[in-house]
Amino acid sequence: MRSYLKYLACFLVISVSSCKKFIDLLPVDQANSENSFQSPADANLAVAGIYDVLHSNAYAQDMALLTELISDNARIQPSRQGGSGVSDNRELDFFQLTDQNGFIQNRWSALYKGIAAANQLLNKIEQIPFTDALLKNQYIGEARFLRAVFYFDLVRFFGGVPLSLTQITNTADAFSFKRSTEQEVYQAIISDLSEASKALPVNYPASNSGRATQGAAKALLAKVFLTNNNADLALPLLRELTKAPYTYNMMPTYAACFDTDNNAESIFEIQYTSIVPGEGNPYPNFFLTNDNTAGRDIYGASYLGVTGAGVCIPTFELFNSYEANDTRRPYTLLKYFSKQEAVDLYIVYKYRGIPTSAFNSEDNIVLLRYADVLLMLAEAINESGKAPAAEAYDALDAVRKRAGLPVVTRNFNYESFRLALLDERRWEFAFENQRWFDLKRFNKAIDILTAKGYSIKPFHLLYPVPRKEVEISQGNITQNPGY
Amino acid sequence: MKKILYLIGMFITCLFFLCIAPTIASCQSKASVTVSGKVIDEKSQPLIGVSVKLENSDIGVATNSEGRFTISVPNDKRVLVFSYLGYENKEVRITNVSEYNVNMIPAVSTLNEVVVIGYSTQRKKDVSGSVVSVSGDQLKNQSVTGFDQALKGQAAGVQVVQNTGAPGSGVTVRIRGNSSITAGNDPLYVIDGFPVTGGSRGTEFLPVSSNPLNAINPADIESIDILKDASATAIYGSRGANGVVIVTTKSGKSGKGKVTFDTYSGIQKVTKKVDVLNAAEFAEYHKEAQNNGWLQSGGNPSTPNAMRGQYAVTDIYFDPSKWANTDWQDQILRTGMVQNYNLAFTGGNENIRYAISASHYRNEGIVIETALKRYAFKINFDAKLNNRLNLGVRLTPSYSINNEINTDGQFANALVGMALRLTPFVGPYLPDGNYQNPLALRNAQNLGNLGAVDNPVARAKEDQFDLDQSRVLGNLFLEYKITDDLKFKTSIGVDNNNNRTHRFLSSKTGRGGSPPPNIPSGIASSSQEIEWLNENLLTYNKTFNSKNILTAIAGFSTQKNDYRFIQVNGSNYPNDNVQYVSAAGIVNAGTENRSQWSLVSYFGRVNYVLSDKYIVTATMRRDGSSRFGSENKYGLFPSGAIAWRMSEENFMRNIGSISNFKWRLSYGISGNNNIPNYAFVPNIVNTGYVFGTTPIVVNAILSGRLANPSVTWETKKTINLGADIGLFNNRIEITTDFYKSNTDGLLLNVNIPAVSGFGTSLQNVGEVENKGFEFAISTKNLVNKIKWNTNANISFNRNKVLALGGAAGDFIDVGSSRTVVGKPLGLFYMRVTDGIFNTQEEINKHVPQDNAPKPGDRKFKDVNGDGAVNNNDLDFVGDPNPDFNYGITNTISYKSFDFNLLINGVYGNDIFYNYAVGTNLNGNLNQDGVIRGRWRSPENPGTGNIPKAISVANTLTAVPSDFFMLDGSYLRIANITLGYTFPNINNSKIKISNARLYVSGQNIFTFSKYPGYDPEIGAGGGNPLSNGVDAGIYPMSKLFSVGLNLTF
Repeated sequence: MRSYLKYLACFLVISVSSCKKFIDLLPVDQANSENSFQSPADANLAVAGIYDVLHSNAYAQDMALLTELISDNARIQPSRQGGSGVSDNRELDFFQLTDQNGFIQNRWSALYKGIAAANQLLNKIEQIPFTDALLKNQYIGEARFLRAVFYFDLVRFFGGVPLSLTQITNTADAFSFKRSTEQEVYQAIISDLSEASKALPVNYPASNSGRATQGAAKALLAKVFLTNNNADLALPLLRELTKAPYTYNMMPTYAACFDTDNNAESIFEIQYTSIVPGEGNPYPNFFLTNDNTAGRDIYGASYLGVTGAGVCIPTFELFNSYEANDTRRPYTLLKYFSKQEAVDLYIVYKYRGIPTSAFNSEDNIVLLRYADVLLMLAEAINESGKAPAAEAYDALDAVRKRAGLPVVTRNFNYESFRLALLDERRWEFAFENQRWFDLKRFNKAIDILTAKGYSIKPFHLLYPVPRKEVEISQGNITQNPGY
Repeated sequence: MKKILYLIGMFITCLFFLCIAPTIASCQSKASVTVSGKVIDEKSQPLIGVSVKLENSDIGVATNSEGRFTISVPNDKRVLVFSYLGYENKEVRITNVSEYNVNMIPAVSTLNEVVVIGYSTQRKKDVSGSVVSVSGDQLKNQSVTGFDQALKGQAAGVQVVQNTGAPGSGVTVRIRGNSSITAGNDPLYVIDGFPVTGGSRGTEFLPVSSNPLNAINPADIESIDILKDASATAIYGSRGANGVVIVTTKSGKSGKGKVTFDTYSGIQKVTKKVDVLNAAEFAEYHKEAQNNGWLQSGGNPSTPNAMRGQYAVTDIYFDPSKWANTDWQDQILRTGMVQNYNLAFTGGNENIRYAISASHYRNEGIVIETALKRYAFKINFDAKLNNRLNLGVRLTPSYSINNEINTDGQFANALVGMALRLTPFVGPYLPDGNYQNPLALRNAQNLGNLGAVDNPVARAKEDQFDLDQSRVLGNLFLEYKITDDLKFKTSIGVDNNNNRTHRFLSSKTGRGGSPPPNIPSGIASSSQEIEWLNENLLTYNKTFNSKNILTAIAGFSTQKNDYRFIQVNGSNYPNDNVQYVSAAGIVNAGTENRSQWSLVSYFGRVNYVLSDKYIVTATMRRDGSSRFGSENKYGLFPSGAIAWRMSEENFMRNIGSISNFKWRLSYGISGNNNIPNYAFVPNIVNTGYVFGTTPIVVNAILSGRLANPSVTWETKKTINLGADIGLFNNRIEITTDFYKSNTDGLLLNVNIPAVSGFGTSLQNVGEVENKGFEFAISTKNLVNKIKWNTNANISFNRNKVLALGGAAGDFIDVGSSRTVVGKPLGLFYMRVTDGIFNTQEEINKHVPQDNAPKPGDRKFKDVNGDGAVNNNDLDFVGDPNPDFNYGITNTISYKSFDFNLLINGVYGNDIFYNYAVGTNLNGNLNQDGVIRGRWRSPENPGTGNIPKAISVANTLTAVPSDFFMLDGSYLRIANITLGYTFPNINNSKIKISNARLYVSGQNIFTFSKYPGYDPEIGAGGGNPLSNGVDAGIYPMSKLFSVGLNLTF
């Protein structure tokens, strides 16, 4: 009896000591963040991950709704306006925004996902040994550039927002963030972009084409300054971009800007390819009307996407606003007879890659291009001098000439030149996700939209902070007025 | 020392003389008499070893091998008591008769029966927890695929719902309600001592989940014991929270070898079809929809049809001769055959016992091209190696092949949905024999703007969808008797579960809305799961003075599970000839996954029975699991119970009618560890981006979630008060329980601020309460020539959410169900209808409604009173949780006939009839027959709650509302069996010792108001937050079969 007990005791003791390891299991078919930041190649993967946030629906596809549908550029297809499943779109189209709007919630979440990914990379990259210091700086520069892109969107949409510039590892820490002021956010953006423009290269080898460049950081920084009423600070940057070492140039035709990815005019684009589902551009499919056959009618029998949503259809007013012979109009808007509506409509035809599967086509989405730099230059000169100068007229004319339009007569004053620039931007960048931001930056959103019959109120200039964020913050995050 | 012993001895001797002296004195004054006789059983066979005692004395003998006894007793007309295990005590008064023939009748009492509880067995009368036993006999009458289906209605507090009617489909078993939200509510199944993964395991490609429990042949089951309260389940620690179902398979018995052969054969049909429109009704409906659409868009009523653009009605609607008038349900349903063969060998001697069986089961489903075939073996082997050492082997290999089709869901991909929604104008075949192509007809608009429904017959016959499952469950144990009271048992077991799926999409079927011909594609996958278990158990049993029993166990076990999965997707097959991925032009996706968990446990139990009256039980288990975060790796699960056999107290002993009355009170803590394997790990997700002037996809990584070191099991605390009552010598036995359980630490995805980079985090924050009442009664109504027994049970469970981890008022929405604090899980939360608008004046008087309604449209209530009707006007309109469940079994036997009737039912639950497209009144899909009562004009409003037919978009006719809330109560005749045992079969030339022929009906009648196929729509086995939603499932079937049981 005694010997049996001894054996049992031994057995138990051995079992207990090896127990701990027995129940320490980590997954083998996926990585975890403890062991995923060990080499420069890992840092490269993480940086690519920050870029990937640009691919999410909440960033790319929904951008059109949040900047074009809300404005006078687009509306919901008439027969779908009263339908179920489009209530969030309706809120945007008719200025009935609520703090539970799904697109706004998703946007907020996606932008912070990108910011968190950038914060993690900036934190973890310090523990990775690099032999190439320039490469490390490039990755840091890219992360800061993208973080600035995300914060710039946040501050333009919502105003002051929680400012997180270091990695959060503990969920409890996330609850203590309050909304910083707009200026605090702008300072962070400016700091990020300034550092990025020092760290990023001017150009990349062909295989890395599409990454953020020094020019992209400067162009974005200029836009930030303009938005923040600092035209003086924007001017030198914009002038630098017109000269060496930057080789940006306007493409000969409007179509050429979009036919080739990463061309001479392009400064920063969201990269897409249709080879792999999920890495493709959703716009050609997204902008179709809700007709079953629209895809095949417009793109031919090789169209392999699905029926369009019919929630971002160009307004007739936009079509009619173009000057005669403007080559940009036929490139941007295509007339199409919609069986659902039994009437001719216009469809966004700027993104022409034929979808090879649902919401999947080849084209890139342009976020910044040289024409924008020129028009920003004209705007900056106008703002800082409170009157248009020759350089400003030259820039405006360059854009108009490319569009097949005559140059303007140089008799504008500050105010009328502003309006002319606003219109020019509308035609140049229709459905490139700029209209809402342009209207706000020019302080013309209320005037212009009210005149066109939209029931916009002053508080609508800032989107509502998602209700979920306000509720769980236990008072740390306050809602924008009016919601 | 010696002196003290001497003194004690003297004392006892004095006592002896003082006590028995009077007895001896009285003895001497009476004469003694010798009584003898014979004791026989109900079959007139001599009973050996029957105890024959003189009442209130120590005088007793036992019957010999011929059943005879001789006893010498005082001749004072005392009573002889005859007792034998399994038989009723018989009392005979001594008279002048010298020879007594005593007939012993089998006991109706179940008190001495043995019940399996965790890790040991116990006599039923000593059980202090809430345990229900179902014997194998109660299961064997039913013609079902798996034993879990056979449990329907058999045990109080156990609700069994079949998920779909597909052969081999999963079954949802709930013991005392749903208590977890994300961690699963399936009980733990223990098969021959091995805890296995039960419930449904589906892959994302298999809409019908395969049920791993179907690998066990129901005919091999000896008994099922279901542990319900914490005192019984706490010994299973972090896996016992949802109850435990212990399955014991038949082992050999010593004695002459026995061979049994059981077989049955039957046919099955759908329980009932759904009422949809025929061709004439469909034509009228479509024309009406188009006309109303035209008028509402401002069209002129006198415009001829041809000029109405999209509201024109195509020619075919005016030509009845062109209508095929197809009943699509008849096209996809058929009469299926079910066959079962079971051959078993049992036998043994005092050293070796065996039970071996082989079985084959085929079930041809009632939907075409679906079937299940299963081949199973069972080898149970027990050997006595020497006086102290026993060895046992339990081995269950089984293999099944399942031909399936996607039948669950709406018409986009599900066969049944297609059959209900496809126009009756066309049939499955064209005149030239090829398949009809409704998707192409739709694109060409020959039939008007029809919905995108594919040809279900083509889908069934051309697409392939197979699942093979092979499973080996094996267990080897050694039991060593250390002393008479102390035993040590060690066992090692393996559960190896392999699934293989093969899927092929043919060129002849549609994809999404895209009509054939399409490019064939396919998916193949294979999974392998190995789970091994090592258990070591010390058992101590000691009986003091035959009335005080102490049982104690102490155990240590380790268990590990390793799951691997591979899948490959192929597309661009050149044709339909070769349907394996080997023919794929492009292999365009694939994955290899592996996932593991492990568990280490220490457990113990002490059970003490005092004077056969007072029972105390205490259990404790400590579990460490690989799933728990580092801050909470180990859990402790204790429980305690007391029981009082009040009927053994003096004040109750003499109440003749009460033969048993036991009170039970228990309290305990059990856990649910069915959380994801790696929830605490801050994982990394692989994704991609694009770079390069020639764009290529580059790898990218993003964080999946933050580290979560505190994630841990869910804890359930249960208090249970129960009573087991026996009346009239246990002819009536009642078991009743009241229970209240609180499950907290429910794992929920709690909203966290987006600034963290994530939207939610899995945290143990929720709390749910379940309380209820169970009542089971078992009566032997007639016991003589006609035997009639009734078993009935009814259970009530009330479920309430106490916390959801956020501020009060927090809620979780899944589909149209909302779970909110203070109410039960998964209530339906939808718009509230208020009839139909008859006139424009009515609309103008009503609060503005968000779809700009017209006469004939549905009216909704302004629930929140804000002056507008929109998506904020939702209210709680129904509860999928039933008020009560019940089951009644009647068994009657007379001479050679036996009859069994099992009724089960559910009352008070609501079902969300999610066939909204079946009443969308849009003119583009076939509709449920109920729309015959639709609104046509103010003078002809129909039934008053069905809007008009109109082919415009935003009518809100199909939006979820209380119009779709239907009563799911039903009473079902689950099984009715009539059997005949051939008498005197022993004398025939064939060496058959017993033969029984029977006819049986399974699910043959269902009484219910539900218009769908069947009110048992599957408790939504997956998600307790959205139960009771009928979104289309494989219909249930009723089965008529004839069977034969032979014993050689």
